[in-house]
Amino acid sequence: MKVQAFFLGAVIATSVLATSPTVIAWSAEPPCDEIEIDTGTCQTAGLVNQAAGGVDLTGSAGGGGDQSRGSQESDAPQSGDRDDIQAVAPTDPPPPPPENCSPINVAICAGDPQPDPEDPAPAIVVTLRDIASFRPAKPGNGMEPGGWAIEDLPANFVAAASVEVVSGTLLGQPADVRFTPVGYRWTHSDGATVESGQPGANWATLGLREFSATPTSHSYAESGEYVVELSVVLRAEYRFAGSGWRAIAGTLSIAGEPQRVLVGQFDTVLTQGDCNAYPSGPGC
Amino acid sequence: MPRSRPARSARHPGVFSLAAAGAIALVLSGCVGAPEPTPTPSTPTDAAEPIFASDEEALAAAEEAYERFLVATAEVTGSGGTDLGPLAGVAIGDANDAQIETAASYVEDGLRSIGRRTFVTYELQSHDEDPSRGAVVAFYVCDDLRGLDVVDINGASVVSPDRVLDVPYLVVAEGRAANDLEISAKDLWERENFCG
Repeated sequence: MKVQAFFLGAVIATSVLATSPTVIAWSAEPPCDEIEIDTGTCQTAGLVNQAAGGVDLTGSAGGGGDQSRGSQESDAPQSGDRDDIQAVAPTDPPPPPPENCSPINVAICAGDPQPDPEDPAPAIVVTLRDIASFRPAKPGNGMEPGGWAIEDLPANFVAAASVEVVSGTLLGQPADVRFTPVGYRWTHSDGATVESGQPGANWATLGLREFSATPTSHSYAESGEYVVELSVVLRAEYRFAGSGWRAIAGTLSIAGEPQRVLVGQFDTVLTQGDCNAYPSGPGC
Repeated sequence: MPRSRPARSARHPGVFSLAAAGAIALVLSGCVGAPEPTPTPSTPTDAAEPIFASDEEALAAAEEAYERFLVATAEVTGSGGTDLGPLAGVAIGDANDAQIETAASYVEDGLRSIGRRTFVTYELQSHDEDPSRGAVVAFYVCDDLRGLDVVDINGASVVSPDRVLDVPYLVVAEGRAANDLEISAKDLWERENFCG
C-alpha cells in the first residue's frame, strides 16, 4: 500500500521578510504497507498504542544557551556543558538567587569589599569606574520558540551569561577582572518586566512541555510585534598578578541584544496534504 | 456497526496568523478554510441540491461505504490476494490501487487472511460537495484488528504478538449518490496513534 505523505496544515514563516512560507512536513515516505500492519511488523509513530499527544511545536528555538559567549571561569564545579543554565525541577520553585540578589535589589548583589584577611589590602581602592575598560561580553538574549510566541501562552526567555574573566591593565598593572552575573531582567515592550536571579533554562532542560510557564517566561495578551530587552546585573572582582580576587563595590548592568518577538494566534487542523499545494483539499 | 463520536468541525478559518506592527504583517497560515457548508432547504428540481443535508448524514453514509470496503478487502486478502473482484464498487483511486498492491503482497508472501477488520469512527474531518467529485467525506477511523488473523500456506498464524490492534487512518469516501459512496483514500495516520 502506498501511504501518502502527511503534512500538518500549518505553515510557519520564520521572518517578517519571508515572502514564501515554509511548510513543515513530518513524513515523506510511507512507513509500511497494509500487509505489514495486518501482521504487526510495521513500526511507526501511528502504530504505537498510546493516546494522541499534543501537536509538537518545537521549532527553531535556539535558546540563550546556544549563543556564543566569552571566556568562562567559575569557582563552582561545572556539570555538563550548559554551565550557564541551571536545571530546575519542573515542580520546584527556582532556587533563591545568591544572597537574594536581584536587579531591583542590587545593593545585595554588590560584592563584599571586605579584603581577604590573608591577603593584605592594597593601598588603593578599585572602583567600577577604574574597570571601565574591561568589557564583559554581551549576554545572549534567547527565547523559545525562536522569535515568536502564541497569544496567551508562555514564551520562555533564557539568558546566556556566565562568569567571565577579562584581562587588561588596571591602574597601570596587568590585572584580571572577573564578572559574575547575579541578576537578570527582561523588559518586554508590552510593559511587563520579569526579574530573576537565574538566567532561565530551556523547557527541555526543565523537563517541561513546550509553552509551559517558567520563572523567566512571559505571556503576551495580544498579537503583535514586541521587543524584549535583557539586562544582566554583574558583580565584579579584580586581581593583580599573584594576588587573590578582591570584590569591587557596586554592580554594573549590561544589556543584551534586543529580542524581537512576533506574537500571533495559533490553531491547528489536520489535513490530508499541504494546503498550499492543494488548497481545496479536505480540511484546508 | 461503527460508532461515531459527535462530529465537530475540523476547519478553522485561520491556522496561524501573526499581525506585526505597522505595515509589516507576518501571516502564518497554511490553511485557509473553505466556507462552512450551509445546507439550505431546496426543492427536488434544484440543480444545486446537496447530496447530504448535514455533516452527520454525510458521515453516516461514509461509514457505510467504509464498512463495505472492509468487507471487500477482507474477501480479497481472504482469497490470498487472488480475487480482486470484491473491490469493484467499493474502492476507487488510490484506495483501490493500494488494495491491489496489498493483494499482490499476499500472493507474493503466500499468505491469506482469516476474519476481518472492524472499525470505529474517531471524528469527521470534513464534508465537502464538489461539482466534479460529488460528496467528499474525510474522516478519521480506528481499525480494530482483533478479528483479523493472517496465516501462511500451512495455516500457521504469522501475526506478531506485538501487533497494534487499533490502527489510526484518515479515510476519504466520495461519490455522487448518497447511498453509493466509494472509498478513494485510506492513509495511515503517521503522526501518532489517536486510537488510545
